[in-house]
Amino acid sequence: MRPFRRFLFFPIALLLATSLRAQNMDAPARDLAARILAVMAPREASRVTVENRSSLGAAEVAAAQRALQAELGRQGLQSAPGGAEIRITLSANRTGYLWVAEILRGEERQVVMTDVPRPSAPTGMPVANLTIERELLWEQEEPILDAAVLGPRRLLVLSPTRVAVIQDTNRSFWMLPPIPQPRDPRGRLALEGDRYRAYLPGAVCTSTWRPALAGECLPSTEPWPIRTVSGTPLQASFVASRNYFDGRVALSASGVKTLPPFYSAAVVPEAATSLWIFAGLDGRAQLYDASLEPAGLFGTAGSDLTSVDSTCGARAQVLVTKRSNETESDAVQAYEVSGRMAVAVSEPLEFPGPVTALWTAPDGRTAVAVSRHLKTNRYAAFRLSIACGR
Amino acid sequence: MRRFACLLLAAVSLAAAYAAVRPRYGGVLRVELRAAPQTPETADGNLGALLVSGAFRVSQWDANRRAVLVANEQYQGGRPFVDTIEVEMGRSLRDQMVDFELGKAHVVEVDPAEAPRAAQRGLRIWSSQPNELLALVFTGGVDNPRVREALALSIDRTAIHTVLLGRQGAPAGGLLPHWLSGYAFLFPTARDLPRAQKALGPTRSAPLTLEYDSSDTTLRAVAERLALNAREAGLTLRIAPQGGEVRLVRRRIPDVNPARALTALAESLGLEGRLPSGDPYASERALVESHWIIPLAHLPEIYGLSPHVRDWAGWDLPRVWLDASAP
Repeated sequence: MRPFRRFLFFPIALLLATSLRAQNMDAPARDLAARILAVMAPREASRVTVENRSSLGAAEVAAAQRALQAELGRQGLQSAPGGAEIRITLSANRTGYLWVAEILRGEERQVVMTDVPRPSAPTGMPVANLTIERELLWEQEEPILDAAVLGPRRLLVLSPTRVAVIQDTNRSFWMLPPIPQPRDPRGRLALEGDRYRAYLPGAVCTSTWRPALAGECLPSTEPWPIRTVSGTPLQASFVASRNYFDGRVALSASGVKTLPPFYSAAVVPEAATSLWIFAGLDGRAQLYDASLEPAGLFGTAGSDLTSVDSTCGARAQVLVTKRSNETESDAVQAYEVSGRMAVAVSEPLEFPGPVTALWTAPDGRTAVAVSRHLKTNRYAAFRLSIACGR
Repeated sequence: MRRFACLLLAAVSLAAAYAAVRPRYGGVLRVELRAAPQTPETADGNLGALLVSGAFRVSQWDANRRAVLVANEQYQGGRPFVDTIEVEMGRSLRDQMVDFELGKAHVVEVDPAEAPRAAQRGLRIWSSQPNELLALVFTGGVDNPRVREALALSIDRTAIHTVLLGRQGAPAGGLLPHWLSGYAFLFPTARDLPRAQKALGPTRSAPLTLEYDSSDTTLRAVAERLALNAREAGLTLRIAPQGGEVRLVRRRIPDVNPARALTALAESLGLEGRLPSGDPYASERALVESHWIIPLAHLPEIYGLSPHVRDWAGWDLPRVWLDASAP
């Protein structure tokens, strides 16, 4: 997958994917035709039927049929009624497609088959009336915990076992020492010039990303930076063997406070101060004022929320996930806080699987969302930003 | 007033649409099983695999009756979400269903024939892909291939699947389910009584004894139906809990690789000497056409799940978590 590519032309991508799939049918057609011809007598007449028992669509079945007919003819099959019957079934199994040919001559039956790799599903998503803009940053097999844009076409990616710097097609890795990870791993990157800190459950790794990736990881209970407001970061203590923060948070203005444990936090401006939102373990998002005193209920939210600054509307929006099950697709929707109530300001932006991470980027104007594709199981990091108008 | 109404609507929609969360840690998962192993070491199937995984540690084991497992904080794959699993063992399917409906169990096994009725009653039922083979296996003593063939052709798999198995899974003519091999349709499943009678010919076969596990009500019903089918072809099939030339068995498909699955299945059924080497289809076809084994159906694992159980994807219990907010 090429990084930094916007999903703006999904219909074109879909057509391209369909066309590529059709092209990919030539090789298996050639292989199956050769296998069929190998068990046929020279110049043996036959008639061919094709049946679909797989998830291939009508267009793909027609393409497969054309490819098979062409290959069988090219390799010398004599087509005529009354001879052997060649019954071709487009089937599928756990690992891919399987094309099966039965050569029937009365009671006698010979079977040949060929495996056809399953094409990877297109990762593009339909684009409709976006106010949340999405840009694919990177995708990979291993979970992505956080990602940070370092510059034009340069990206830092945190995974449970490594940190990677990706520039165009070049990648360099720093394999982290073994760190016990909870079942729902989380992590956070914080950039400091050419250096960065990678916060993992129970550990902090400090390293440079330029000129080379190198550093050290130490067991640590150091609080994670959640969000910076007016130069002051909110820091929170993460529970090492779990997937949430224990509730101890620090803002220099208000000292350390203990709130109920939470999964994520966001901040939006309110008059001259700020309003904080914490997504609690009970599924409810609570509002807190600038002194981190309770200020009401934001609503029942997904476990991941964050906020981004923008030039639209209230100039800050809360991005909220809609996760209902890790086996379902997901969506992120933008909200504003009006009269201390949540007001939807965008359509939900659909993702092809659960959103597993949602963090505000260091610039404060964008967020990084990571989604696990339900079909391919690959993780993709996206940069989200708010676009004015629809 | 109008603006207030809009805000209220938006707030309500947030509450309705955004209801779920990251997996939560904690809680006691209550599971019931038919299996009743004496010790942790003798546990097989899903429970055995869970114990071997190391995700949970045994804190209490009452032989054949009850086990308490606690989450391993140091488990390599990450600490399981639930703190404890309480396993009630040796529970009949009927007792499991009663406990499930009374809210005493989060996870119970469900009889295939009972699954549609349970779903109709609004219970949450989960089925895996068909991953268990229901088959007849000749243990020896029936050397006449025509008798074996006649029995294979006499079986009405469609009726067994529809009536006795609640349409769960699929009728099977081959050993491997279609999702695994991709070629299961090549093995016919249709009954052919005239060919069965023709295969048997004029000679009368000695009565055969069909052995099955009498504690399994599904197997008992299938065995009785097989005896009826066989009689129509001219074969006498007596059913008995033990000591038969033919066994009615259920076997978990042991691998997702077709070649390895076939080998392991044949070994577990005592047929390893009859499975020729070769590509999976050729090996499977040769064994099936020898009729030393007669596949009947592929069955899924079926469980009843409480609404509190989240992220269930089969017996992968370390990833399961309990949602206390569920109704």
